[in-house]
Amino acid sequence: MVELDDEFSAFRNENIVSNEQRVVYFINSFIAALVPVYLYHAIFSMSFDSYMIVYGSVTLFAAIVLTFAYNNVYRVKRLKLSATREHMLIPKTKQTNGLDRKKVLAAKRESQAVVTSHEATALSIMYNNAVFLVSMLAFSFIIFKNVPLVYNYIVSVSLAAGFTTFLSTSSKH
Amino acid sequence: MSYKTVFSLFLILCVSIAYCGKAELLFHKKIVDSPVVGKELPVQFVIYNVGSEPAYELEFDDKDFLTSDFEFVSGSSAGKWESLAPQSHVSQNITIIPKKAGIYTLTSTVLNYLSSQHEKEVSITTAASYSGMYVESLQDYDKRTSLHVKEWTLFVLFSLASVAFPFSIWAYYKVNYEHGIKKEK
Repeated sequence: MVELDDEFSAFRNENIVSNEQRVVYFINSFIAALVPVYLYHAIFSMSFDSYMIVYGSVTLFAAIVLTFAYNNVYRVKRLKLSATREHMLIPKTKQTNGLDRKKVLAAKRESQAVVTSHEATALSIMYNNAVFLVSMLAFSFIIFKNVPLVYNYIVSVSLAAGFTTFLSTSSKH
Repeated sequence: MSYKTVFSLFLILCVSIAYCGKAELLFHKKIVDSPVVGKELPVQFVIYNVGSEPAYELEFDDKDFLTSDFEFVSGSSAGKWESLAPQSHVSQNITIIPKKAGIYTLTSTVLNYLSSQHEKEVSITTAASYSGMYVESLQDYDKRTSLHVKEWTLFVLFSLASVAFPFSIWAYYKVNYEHGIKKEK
């Protein structure tokens, strides 16, 4: 139980981001940042060999910036979800004595917190990926459509990641 | 009307009669399609007579496309005509297939003709054409002209997948859990 407590304490604490979460965030943001790479490589013929450094650095930058967006939205979502849920846990068994009831309640609360946290993470990743991809397309095809290809890629992807993170700082999700 | 004016008008008339009484040829080496390796490329040689008299003994011979870099398909790059009536044109076609990508220089093909029937001296005009021709490789051509349907489909799929994957996780919790507590079946 002590081990379990340690594992979930990070999820409970609002301001601490666990390493596990960081890894989940980074894997997802990296995949999202790879989607524009495919667009520019396969459709706009921006070759890997010539622009490997550009691709690598922009993807890494976007992935890191997106992790902040994920975490910001995650915190708001989890707060809102848990606010409506915490009072739903009612101990229903009358046979068990007081100590057992407390234990059961605590265990249930833990599992509820984990589920809430997973749901918030999934919602956050979904929302941010959608915003990132749509804003990337808007930047590259509408706003910077006359900019040369390489600069178009750098500016569109970086600004889309920045814009997504900027939007994530709002508390209205 | 003064004597000088009459004389100058007469002079202009004489000069214009002498000038118009000859054939004037324009020669054009025409490449309409963009050259691509392995694709047939039609080349047209067009001669227009814009003068007032017919031209005689027209003859040209172009050697730009008879090298080993081009495969001959049909037609001819040389032409010979007895005469060409004023305000009319003749043309000669050749179809070739470029074998290698790159830039090829085009020469100004020389057309010899007699500007009137009694003329002994051969007149010369050169073909108006581009000074060079860029032959595109097949890969570049495909890349430039393809609609990238497959690539766009994959891009849309990747985009959707990056949104659908977290959505599926959220949907799983939505279906199996209520308020974060596993539903009892």
